[in-house]
Formats: sequence, C-alpha cells, structure tokens
Amino acid sequence: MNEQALLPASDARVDVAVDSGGVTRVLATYEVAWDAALPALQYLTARCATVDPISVSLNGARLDPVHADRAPWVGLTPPLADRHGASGDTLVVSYSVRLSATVASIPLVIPAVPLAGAATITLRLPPGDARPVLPHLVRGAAGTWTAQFRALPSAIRVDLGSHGGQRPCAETRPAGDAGTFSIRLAVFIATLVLWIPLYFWWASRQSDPT
Amino acid sequence: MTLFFVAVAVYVVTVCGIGLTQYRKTRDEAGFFVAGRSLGPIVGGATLMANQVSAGTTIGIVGFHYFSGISYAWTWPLVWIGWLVAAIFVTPKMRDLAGVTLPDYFAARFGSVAGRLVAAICILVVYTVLLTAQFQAGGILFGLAGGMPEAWAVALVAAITAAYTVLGGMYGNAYVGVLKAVLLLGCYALAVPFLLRHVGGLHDIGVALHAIDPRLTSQWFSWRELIVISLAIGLGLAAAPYEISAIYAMQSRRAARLAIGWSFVFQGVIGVGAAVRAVHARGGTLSARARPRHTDAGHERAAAVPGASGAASSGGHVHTDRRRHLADGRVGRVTRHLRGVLAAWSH
Repeated sequence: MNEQALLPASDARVDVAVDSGGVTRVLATYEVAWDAALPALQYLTARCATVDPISVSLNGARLDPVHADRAPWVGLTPPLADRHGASGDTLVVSYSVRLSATVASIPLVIPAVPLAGAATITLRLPPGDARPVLPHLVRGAAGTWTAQFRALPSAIRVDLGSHGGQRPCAETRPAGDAGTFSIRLAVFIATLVLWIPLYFWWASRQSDPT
Repeated sequence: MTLFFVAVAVYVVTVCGIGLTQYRKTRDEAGFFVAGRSLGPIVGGATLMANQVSAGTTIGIVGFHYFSGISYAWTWPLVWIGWLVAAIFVTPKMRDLAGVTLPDYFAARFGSVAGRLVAAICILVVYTVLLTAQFQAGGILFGLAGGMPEAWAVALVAAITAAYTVLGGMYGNAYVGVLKAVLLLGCYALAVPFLLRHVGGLHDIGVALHAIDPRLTSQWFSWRELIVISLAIGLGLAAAPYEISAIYAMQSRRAARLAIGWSFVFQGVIGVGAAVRAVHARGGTLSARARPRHTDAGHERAAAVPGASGAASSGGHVHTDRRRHLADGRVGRVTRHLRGVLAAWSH
C-alpha cells in the first residue's frame, strides 16, 4: 500500500442488507472530494461467504477492474484509463454475498488505501434474533444497525440466529504465510514481561539519603 | 447513541465527583499542585501512565500500527529507556528540590527569576501545541462515537479536563488517572480476547497482514528509526512538566522509582492491546472457527444420555427450556462472552 495515498472521499456510505436466506447485498458509495487517482480495491476471501461478481462504476459508467489474487486478499485494480477521479464524481461498488454459516463474515470490498473522510456503515438484518458481532454497530430502526468509522473494516461478522438454519460450512484458517508476526509479537511481550520485574528489583535495591 | 451519551454522562459525573472530593482535601498550594506529596507507588504509577497515555496513544499509536504493522510496538520498551533516565537522574534532583513545578527547578538551579520565566514561557508555547493535538484527537473520537460535530466534541473534552483539574488539582489528576488505568486495562483485557476469538487468532491476522505487505509482519521501521523516535519521546517524557509535577507529588524518592515501575505495568498492557487492536483493524480476518449455538449443543447432550429421552420429554424438557431462555437472554450473552475471554486467554 502507498501510505501517502488516500481515497479522497468526503462521504463514504456502505449499505449491507441481509435477507432471511443469508443472501446479502452490499452497496458502497464514495463521493470523491478532490481530483486524484482512484486507488485499487480489495476484499478478504472467506470459505463461508461466496462473493458474486463485483460491479464497479464511476458516475454510472461501468469499470472493468483487473482481479489479482494475493491470498487471502483479492485485489481489484481499475484500468489505467479509468483511474482518474475528479471532485464531485461518485464511485459505486455493488455485489452480492451468499453466506453459508450461521455465524459468518460478510467481506467488504474496501479501498486499498485509507479514506480521507469517515465512512458510515448501515446493516439491515432480517427481523428476529439476527445481530452483528463485529465491528460494533448501534441498533437503529427495526432491523437496522449503523456506525461511523475512520477506517473501513474488511468484513462485518453477523450471527443470523434462527435464520441460520442448518448451515454446515465450517470456516477454516486462511491459507498463506504469516511471516514472523507471531514470533515478533511473542518476543515483544516477553521483553516487557522480563523488563518489569528486573526494573522493580533494581528500584527496590536503591538506597536513598535520609 | 443513547448508550454513548449515558456512558459520557457517567464519566463526566465520576470525574467531576473525583475533582470535588479531592477539592475538599486541598488546603494549600502544595495540596493543589502536588497533592501534598502524598502519592504512593500504585496511584503514582497510574498518574504517570495517565499523563503519558493520552489520545496520542489510543488514536495516534493505533494509527501508526495500522499503517506500519507490528514493528512500532518496539517503541514501548525503547521509550522506557527515557523513563530509566528519569528514574536515575531526574527523579532524585526533583525530589531533593521539593518544588511544585518544573520552572521552580530552573529558578533554584540558576538562582534566577528569569530562569523560571523562560521555562514557563517554553512550557506554555510547546504544550499549547501538544494539548491542541490531544483535544483534537479526543474530539475526533467523541465526534465519531457520539455523532456530534467535531468542534462541539473538542469543546466537551476540554471542558471535562478543565473541570476536574481546576476542582481537584493534582489530587484530582491522580485519582482520575487511577480511573483511567482501570478503564484502559479493563477494556483492553476484555476487548482483545473478544477480537481474537472472532477473527481466528493472531496467526490469521498475520496471514492477512503479510499478504498486504510483508513489512507489516516484520520490520516496517529500521531499528535506527525506532530508536530515534523512542528516544525523542522517552527523553521528552523524562523532563515533561506534567510528569515532573507528578514526581513532586510522590511520597518519597523510593515511591517515585516504584511508581515508574507500576506505570510500566499499565503501559505494557495498553501497548499490547493497542498493537493487537490496530493490526486486527488492518488485517481483519474472516476465518474464526464457527462455534455451535449454545442451545443446540445443550439439546444434543441431553438427547445423547442413555435413558434421558423420557426425562427430556417431561421434567427434563422444562429444565432444557429454562436453560435455553437463560442462554438466549442477556445473562447468556454475558456468560458466553466471559467464557470466550477465559478461553481466548488460555489458548
């Protein structure tokens, strides 16, 4: 990711609607605030959520992004000729997701760079005991949950409750290499754990003038 | 939204209550500025941590981890080098002086009123900039969570801080620091296992991060960059006026040294929590193992017991219904969450 790039969206809205059969419609709208190159998009693959073909359009004109597999991510890069966004343009991403587990994650197609503004996510669930699990969303009108975010989450995890039915899919670990992440985190925590008692031992041995 | 405003109202009432309670303890200048030099190691450690861990940590450091991955976590132990400098060189001199503010030290050290004035002006200029950033960050957070305009949120944060500081002085600052330590540690201790439980654990976060950019799981910053950043922060903390005031407020040199150690404990929990929270936000995986629904599992166990089918259809059926009612209600959700916390920590 180019950490200097931003998606110059002053207003981003992501509407997610889940029906009682686990079919989910996602509609993301970004209002471009200033002239800039549009970034690539990406989403996380998941075994228990099938993402149907994704539609990306700029001001109503359909773009055909190039798909790139960087497991567990899938990247979507707009063609070079279509990458320029101007102030006032509207970028729309829409697709369906079919969930095959009672507790499952809905992948969100998100920009591969941070947003310049905030994003509002609105989730509609079927009436009953269905509820969002992650991230934290606030219940609004019947069956609606919403929240504002500075950074878009890569997924919304939902519990379909009694609408889940007999869904046999068991999510498995993603294929891929974690690098040295776990080892580095463990060494960091071990350093803190060693440092603290050593410091207390030193501090308690110091003598002070009366 | 209502829950947010209720939480804010409870917090405001609590900190103002702390300020008012401590106001009654304050008898003189030493009481207001340095809590009568009465703070012990644990309250002192919470004060030092609360002064250091501001919006710069809960928003700024989380943001650094979000874009750079796990390597930024090393700034915590490196910043502690600055605290060691404070413990060895700064704390004894400050305690020996028995002043109330950092400018007092310069006046005494150089025997000059002008020294006090220069120090005061420098602090005013530099910390106006620092506090502006802190209030802005707090305003962003309140604005996002509460849905209020950012300017109102900044004003609210500034008003809350001013209220308990003006009312309670260093006593108020110290005990609000204890409240802050309880809230931050408690929230990270609950939130991090909850996150890990629902996203499949650290390995899965690592896989997602590594696929974005391998530097996120290894070394985004070079060691030289990390050391420079950390020493700038750590040595700055060693001489920060708000930390010096807290050092003055400790009971003794020994209490101040031990308080630094207790602040390491609090900072360590917060540092790990902030790092995990931020890398989860960047990676955010979908591969949590699906857990069977609680009521379905209970029903299956009852049916599997030999000879239980008769009981399940009569007296046992009532018992199963009550268990299902409890499991599906608020008590069940809290119980499942606490079980998840214990399970995640034990993995």
